[in-house]
Amino acid sequence: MKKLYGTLLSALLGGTMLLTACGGSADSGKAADSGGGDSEQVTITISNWLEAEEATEAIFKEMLDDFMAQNPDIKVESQAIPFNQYKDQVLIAGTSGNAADVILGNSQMMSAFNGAGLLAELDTEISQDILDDIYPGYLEGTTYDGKVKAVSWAPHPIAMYYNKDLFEQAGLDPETPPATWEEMTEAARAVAALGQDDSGNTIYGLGIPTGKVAHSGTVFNGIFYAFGGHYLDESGNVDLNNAGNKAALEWTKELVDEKVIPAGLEIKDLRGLFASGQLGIVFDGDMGRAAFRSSSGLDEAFDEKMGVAIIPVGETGRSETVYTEHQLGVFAQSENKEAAVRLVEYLISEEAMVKYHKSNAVLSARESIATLPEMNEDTFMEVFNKQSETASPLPATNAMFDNAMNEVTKAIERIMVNNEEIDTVLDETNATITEMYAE
Amino acid sequence: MRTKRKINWFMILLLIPAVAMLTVTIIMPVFVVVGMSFFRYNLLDMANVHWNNFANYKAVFADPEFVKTFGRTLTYVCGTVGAQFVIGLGVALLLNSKRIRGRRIFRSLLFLPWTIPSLVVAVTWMFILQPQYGVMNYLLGLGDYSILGNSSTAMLGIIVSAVWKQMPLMMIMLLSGLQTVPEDLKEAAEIDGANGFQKFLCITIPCIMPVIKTVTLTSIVSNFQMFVLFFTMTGGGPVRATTTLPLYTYETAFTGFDLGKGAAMGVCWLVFLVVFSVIYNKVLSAKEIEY
Repeated sequence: MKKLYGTLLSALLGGTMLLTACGGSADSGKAADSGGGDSEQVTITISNWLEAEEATEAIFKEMLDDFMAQNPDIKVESQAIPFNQYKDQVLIAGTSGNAADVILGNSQMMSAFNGAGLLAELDTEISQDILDDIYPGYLEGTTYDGKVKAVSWAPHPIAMYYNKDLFEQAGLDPETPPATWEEMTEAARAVAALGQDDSGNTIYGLGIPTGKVAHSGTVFNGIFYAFGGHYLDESGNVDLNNAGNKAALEWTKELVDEKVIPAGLEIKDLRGLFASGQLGIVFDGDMGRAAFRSSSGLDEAFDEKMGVAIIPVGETGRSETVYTEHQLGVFAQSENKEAAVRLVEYLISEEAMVKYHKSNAVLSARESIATLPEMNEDTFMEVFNKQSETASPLPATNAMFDNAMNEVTKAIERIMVNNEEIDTVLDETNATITEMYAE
Repeated sequence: MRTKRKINWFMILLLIPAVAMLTVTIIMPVFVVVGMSFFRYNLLDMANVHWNNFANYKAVFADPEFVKTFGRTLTYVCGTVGAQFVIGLGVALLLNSKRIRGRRIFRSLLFLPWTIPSLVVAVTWMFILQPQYGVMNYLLGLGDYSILGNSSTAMLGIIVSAVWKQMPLMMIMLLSGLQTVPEDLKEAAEIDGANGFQKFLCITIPCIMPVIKTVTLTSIVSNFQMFVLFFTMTGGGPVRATTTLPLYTYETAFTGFDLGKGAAMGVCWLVFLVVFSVIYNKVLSAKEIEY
């Protein structure tokens, strides 16, 4: 009897394993098909999180529908994956040969996708006119080892927001934002000197993310650049302990100790403080405006309290900042590369970008589109398009970049929250990341 | 002499769906994870999966961060389970007392936090502990000191939120145990001259030991797996002060792409919990009494 039960159990186990194995290897249907009787039509897929989010679901579908209407020989199927699972899902699908033909990603994801060999080279696939039209900074962000592996779709350069009411209370001119780093530092100190608001909440001068999540370390690269620092040296090696980075961290620590900058906060916390009138200046991308409007409960009326300007000029003599962005790549093993590239070209075209901009106020990485009047309908958009000209790409050259930025965030926390010595922290973090990259 | 028993095919047929479901949802994933832990399994290089001579286990035990993470996990589990047991037992004793009026209302109200999803609890406590506008800083007069943003207090903040959510279940289970303690035993002890504390220690506790054993073990195991509170409230920071095993395993496997090492960590953690559960059961079973 025991033997019989044992045999039955083994058969069950074997059967389910076999079923799972077959399920895993099943083709997801991404290859060219007859398209319901039309032998000319190919079906391509695009993996994304836009269709899984309320704010972008409708416009994304509309853009795909427009593309299909103009290209009846191509049918596009969207693979919507929630943002939090996106990177892992695409990596798992891609490394087993089942990724979508067109892959959406952000800078950090794309470095991982490139590291896993998922991205096709696009230098000769995408029209040269389009590549020439992309701002050099944005093109650099999608170029790995001299090869274009993706194109920038919706860049988010980080600029400066300031609270006009707090500026006025601090005796500053709300219509003249600080233009240099020194002016900004003094303005932040003046705002912080206000002390507390009517409800007894502390008022801070400046908000820079200094903790919690990898994003904080990522955007701190912009502060490093403003002081002439860098994350990678000219040979592409991790080089955190340099004079510029040290100066940036010393300046930040000084302002943290003076309670001008709140310590250990991430961008979500800072957005809350700015929206509630407890923060004079904050560095954020164009998506920050929607967050401020929503958090403040004032919606568009909040815009009257808010000024926006490009990041003040620092040690390098230019407005240094970084950008995060959505990028589009083509799967290296795609059987329909030509169709996939046509979809990518359409999504970054004037027609699609103007539509996307009207719907979600996104920017374009292409100069000819970014300078169109309909993309610069107000001061806000003008400032962000202006910031695009000097925004630098993230130094995401390694698939472990996201992990490395987590280490940078921890380094900043050690300095700002634990009061550890800057040199030691930078040396130790440099060693950790170098070892991580080598692995 | 062995008798040949008839095979009950109908019984086997009825068992098949349940066995198949358990196999697919529990047994197979465990075997898959154990299997993965012996292979080089990198998410960036899935074409190159191969046996790596226990390298994942060697890496886990040579990783100083794993040992620290294990220590932090034990701190969290001991703090959370200990606090919720003491508070839960205290509240259960109060609610078991016939002198308190409106016990049912209190019981229902106190049970509410347990019904709230962990994610909502995490976000709620992040607001409560927020340094600039959080009510906790206001009540304790902490100014803009960040409880969750400071390495020395972040774990305490998470333990408090975990105890707030989990204590009601502990309390209800202990209360149900207290309601089964025979009154005649207590009366006999009273006649023998035992005071309240002696009755509690020598009668109540041994009588409810099976309940104590079950609820504390369940709580220990579930808190060992706590991910949501840490991921949402601190993300493991500041400076890894709240990075526990589930978070570190996730980080290794998915952010670091090393599924093999992540699986090895999971197996170490599984073995520890199995061994601990067996010992814990044996030790506490010895303290049970029959009545």
